Amino acid sequence: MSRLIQFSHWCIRILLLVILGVGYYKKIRVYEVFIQGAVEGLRTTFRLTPYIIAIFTAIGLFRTSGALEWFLRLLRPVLQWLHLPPDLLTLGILKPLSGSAALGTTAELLDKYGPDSALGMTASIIQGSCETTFYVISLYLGSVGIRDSRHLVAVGLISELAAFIMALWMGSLIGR
Amino acid sequence: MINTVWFFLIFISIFTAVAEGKLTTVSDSIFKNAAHAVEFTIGLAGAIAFWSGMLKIAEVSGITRTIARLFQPLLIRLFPVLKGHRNIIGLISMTVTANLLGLGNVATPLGLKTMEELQKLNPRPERASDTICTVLSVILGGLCILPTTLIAVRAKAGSANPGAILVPVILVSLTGTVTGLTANYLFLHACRWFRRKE
Repeated sequence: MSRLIQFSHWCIRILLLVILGVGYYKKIRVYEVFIQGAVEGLRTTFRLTPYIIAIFTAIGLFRTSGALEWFLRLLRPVLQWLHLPPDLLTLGILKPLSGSAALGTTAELLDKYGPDSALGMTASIIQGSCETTFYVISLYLGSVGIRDSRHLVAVGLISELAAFIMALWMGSLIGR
Repeated sequence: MINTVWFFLIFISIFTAVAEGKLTTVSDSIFKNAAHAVEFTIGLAGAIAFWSGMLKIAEVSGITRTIARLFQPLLIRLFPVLKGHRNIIGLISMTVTANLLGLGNVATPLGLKTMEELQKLNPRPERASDTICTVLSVILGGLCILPTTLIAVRAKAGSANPGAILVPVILVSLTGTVTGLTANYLFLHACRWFRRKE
């Protein structure tokens, strides 16, 4: 497995070498072109800051005010009916909202239940296969100043839900 | 739609804070998270600027177009509009590949560069075009074949086999991506159908 991770690090090194090598070979003024691109990159980051502020503050409020807990408490009867551990639902709901919070929760769950237990495995699968929907939408659309996201929030949440259900099913297969 | 979600997140939070008697929480939380958001973008700025510079070299030297030639047969089916836009096809293929390999630090700068190029073809700049919706549906699906961060977290938690989740993650993220793409396809077609009826 460490070899696979090594491979992904090698990809970055090779990509850099190829870009610089081919650029230099084709007699492109690599330094000047790099600066030109970097300026554009900085301008992009500057443009997307307000969008990130909007999403971070709203989600921060939702968590610290206790609204998230209320939401989870409302869903608890449904969970009992489905025989679903509440911890997994917390993770499933946090994941589309905040990447760092979800990663923290996963680490906590792995500590609490053990990384190789059925719950630890399921939590890992949820963490690995869902995207942080709201962050991705505000980041990507914000960088080019798009305000109307059309149906993208729905698309993100639908694929999230499909992945979540599939992850629970996979987890139940492992636990058996 | 994001308007509604954003509004209700804040609206419900303020009511809950008042109901639970957490009076200082609201202003504290706003201050802390707004500061965190700015720190976060500043932290991101370095990587984005660096990779934008590298991508500019790749674009000028024709590497992006060479990569595009490899992926074109597949991507033209998903994005018929992009026929002839070699540079964008190259960028999309690199973005998706970086996401697949779990290279978050490279995937984000690549994705933002892709957005910039796609936006140039967007007839209504304040609204996401059909192509942008489809590209984002792929990214939102979270398709991943090498979840590097996750494997590291599992190893740190003392797992005997941190990579055991690899195959399940590939299958589950594939399910999510295919479902998301299908939903996107249906939404776009419903959109077109309503426009034709008018």
